[in-house]
Amino acid sequence: MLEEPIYKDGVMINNQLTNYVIPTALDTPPFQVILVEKPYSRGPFGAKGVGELPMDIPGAAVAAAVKHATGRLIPTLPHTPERIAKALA
Amino acid sequence: MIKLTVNGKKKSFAGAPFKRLIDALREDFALTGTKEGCGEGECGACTVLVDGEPVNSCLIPVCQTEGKKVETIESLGTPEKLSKLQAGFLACGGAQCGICTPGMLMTAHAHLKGGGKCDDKSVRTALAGNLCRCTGYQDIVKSVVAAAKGKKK
Ligand code: FES
Ligand code: FES
Repeated sequence: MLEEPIYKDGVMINNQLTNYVIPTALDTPPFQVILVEKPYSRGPFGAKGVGELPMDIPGAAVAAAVKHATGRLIPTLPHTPERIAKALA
Repeated sequence: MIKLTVNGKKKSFAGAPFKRLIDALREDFALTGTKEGCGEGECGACTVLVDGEPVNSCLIPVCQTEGKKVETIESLGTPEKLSKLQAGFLACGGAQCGICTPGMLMTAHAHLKGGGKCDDKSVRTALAGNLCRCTGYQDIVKSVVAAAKGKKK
């Protein structure tokens, strides 16, 4: 919902915490981790990556929630207020 | 010559007066517990206490601490004898990569010492200037609340 890297000539131009705003303790909602222990058939011994999941799933969940609320699926993340407003205009 | 107190000990600093406090602490006083995150006053990783107030040590020159009391993470506890807060972080998983941790601890320490409340909302508000990229804050807040509750017993 917040983080949008902007690139120019292959270089990230908003590479400071002043212009690439990340959530603070006040912005972060409570969360609960549920481990689903289901082996992945293509991984060695059923292994699958877990490191990036906090990046992968919430984005899709937010997109689904926005679709649920507005009826519009916005295909690009992050769902910044600007992007949502533009999509609904 | 700048005279200041660091973690209860009188120190003098003869280097460049506009050296950043964080560099003076880390390089001249060999107190490397204080970490630099952003170097531009946004993240709070470098938080130390100056006369009890949390400040970003990357933003102030050492000359501004003339005659003042500076407290760093090294003043909280030792590996053998952790402070209540540090023990709370250890018990509740309040640290992941650990870069934000010294700053979180110093800010939380100042908050609790100043009589700040230890409910979830107050702790989150107190820590709002300290960014953490790893934990999602939940376990940090839990650690502080647990430590504070333990203290009151
Ligand atoms: S390093 Fe000082 S605020 Fe980030
Ligand atoms: S533990 Fe890594 S930034 Fe907080």
